[in-house]
Amino acid sequence: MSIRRQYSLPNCTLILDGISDGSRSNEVRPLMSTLVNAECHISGQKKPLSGGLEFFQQLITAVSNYTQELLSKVVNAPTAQQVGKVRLEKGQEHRLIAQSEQGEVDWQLSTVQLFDLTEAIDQFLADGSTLPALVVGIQPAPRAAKGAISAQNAPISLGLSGLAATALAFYLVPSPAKITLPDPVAKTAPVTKTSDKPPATNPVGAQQSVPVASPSTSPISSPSASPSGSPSPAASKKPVERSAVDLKTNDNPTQVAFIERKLRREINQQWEDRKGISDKLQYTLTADEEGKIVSYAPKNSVAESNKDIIPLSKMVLDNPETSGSPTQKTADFTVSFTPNGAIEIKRDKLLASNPTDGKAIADADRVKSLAKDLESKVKLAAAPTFKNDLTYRIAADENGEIVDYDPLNGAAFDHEKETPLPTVTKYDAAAASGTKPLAQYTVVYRPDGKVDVKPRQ
Amino acid sequence: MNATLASPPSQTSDMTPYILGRLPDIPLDKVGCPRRAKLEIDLLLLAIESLELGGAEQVLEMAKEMGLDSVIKNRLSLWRMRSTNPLRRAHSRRLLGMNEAKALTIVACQLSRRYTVTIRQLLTEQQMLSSKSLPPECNFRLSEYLDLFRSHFRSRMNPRRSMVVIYADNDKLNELAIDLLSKLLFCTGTAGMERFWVSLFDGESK
Repeated sequence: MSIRRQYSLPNCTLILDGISDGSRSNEVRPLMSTLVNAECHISGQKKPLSGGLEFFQQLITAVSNYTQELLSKVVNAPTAQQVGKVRLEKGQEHRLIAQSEQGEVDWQLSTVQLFDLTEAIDQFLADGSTLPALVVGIQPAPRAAKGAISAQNAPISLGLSGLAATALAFYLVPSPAKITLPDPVAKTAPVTKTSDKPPATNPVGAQQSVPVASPSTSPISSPSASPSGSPSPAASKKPVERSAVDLKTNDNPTQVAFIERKLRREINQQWEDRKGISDKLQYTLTADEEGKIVSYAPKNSVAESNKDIIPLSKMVLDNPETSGSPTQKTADFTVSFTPNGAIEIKRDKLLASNPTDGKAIADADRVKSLAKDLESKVKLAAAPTFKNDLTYRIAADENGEIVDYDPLNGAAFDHEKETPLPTVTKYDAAAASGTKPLAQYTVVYRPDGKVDVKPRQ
Repeated sequence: MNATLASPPSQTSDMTPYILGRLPDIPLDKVGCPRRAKLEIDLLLLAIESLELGGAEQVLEMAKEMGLDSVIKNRLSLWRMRSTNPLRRAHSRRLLGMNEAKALTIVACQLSRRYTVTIRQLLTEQQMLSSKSLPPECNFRLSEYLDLFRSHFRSRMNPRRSMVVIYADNDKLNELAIDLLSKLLFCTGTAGMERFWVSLFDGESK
């Protein structure tokens, strides 16, 4: 009787076809005693790895050994990751190399994919009714293996003594009388040699690639070569330069939250052409108490090259020393522009406490009468295109001036521009800092064009 | 009656929680766990604490749930066990017994399962960002985890230890945090607990 057993995980599926010897055929889950074919599908790879018993045995042993090595950073034995025709090694993340029936396979696996592969194998190993004769023992490597701790895990002393030795060697080298510029080809040799050292000082798990290219990753520093990945020193040019004024950090949570909303609102209004971005652009920006941008600087390399297409350059204060007050407290944010046209704003500092809505107007009658005034103020100008209710929180001062609003549902975010809120809202620093009493309302725009303004509890 | 009171060791050995039997005893030359095991267990718990605020409380709760409260009795005994990590500011030269190490491993692995989805998402994000050579800060949740891990690590580890000196660099410490995250992922697996436990003794067993 032929049986198929499948172990499925999000990134890996293991399919085993085999036959039962009939010994436990009456049971709900008969015993698979002979393997005919094993298939291993990994997400993102068109064809599966497949083979017979020998291949499968090699695959599960190699994966299991490699996983243990990954956890402990101790190389079990020089050939442990190579079992027969299956081999795993460190690549960009992990590499699975195998000679299967379809020819040679060389796959790059992410850690999550590798985990799913290991998990599929562990589920198979824990399954007593499928090939119980196949066992992979998990045992600690014996003491002898300790010497073989992989290079990236070598203690820092190795790196330090290497550095000391190099320093001594350089000290002994006489300084040249005349410096001649060597040609770039000849230059590569000595420079790459010194770049061998940093990995030795790396502690645990240095395999993860460092996202921002560090100076050591661009070994050739000849004048003609321009290291494209490294952050250019010109990252902060004149207009985007951080102000030299001694700025104090704004630590009023209510005000910072207020400024954050104002920034989101204004950047949203100013950002017109939202196409042509292929990667997320990130900027750090500093805003004053008025919610005006004092300075900003690109945070990643794509942001540096795309700084013309985003609206920050239009919004930054030309001369923060004169136009803004230098005594103002500022808050730092990270703003991201995503390829699908969204804006994300994040505070750089955790707030000391939760932001509040500020002081409330105590006079309940005044709050009620203001609601009537507001209703006419926030009316829609054109027929709505949205299909769901838009809910906002708005805050008004005693004169009925709207000083703040906050979208409360997803639709409210998306259709903000259809409402008059972005235009009628007047920023007020005193209200933002929570010192001026405000009345809070919930405004609901219905798809039929009706508007509901209710005081918030 | 007096005899049982006078000999706590025999009493504890009688009361060894059954669940500890899930992890094999590793034959070692010395009494107590090797240095690397003490370090790794504490760091793994630190990574769990960085996934959510209040993670430290969960360790005690989980210990109780797993019937391990005879080994991890209270906050103080947990702290004493974790202080065997040689990198800690409050490092004590106390031994970490086999059963204590097992109990901490079981608790850490059980806790990691609670966060399976989060761990997978964070690692997937990290891989995506690193393939685009973007810094991990680009992702909000990832940067939250890294921030918390860095602050936990720096507040508890002794900055004068040479192994800690390297982590003065944020990028290096982020790498460690990501590496621990992938260890946590493996801990969530069917055989994850055994795999992690055995890995602690690689190169140490007789």
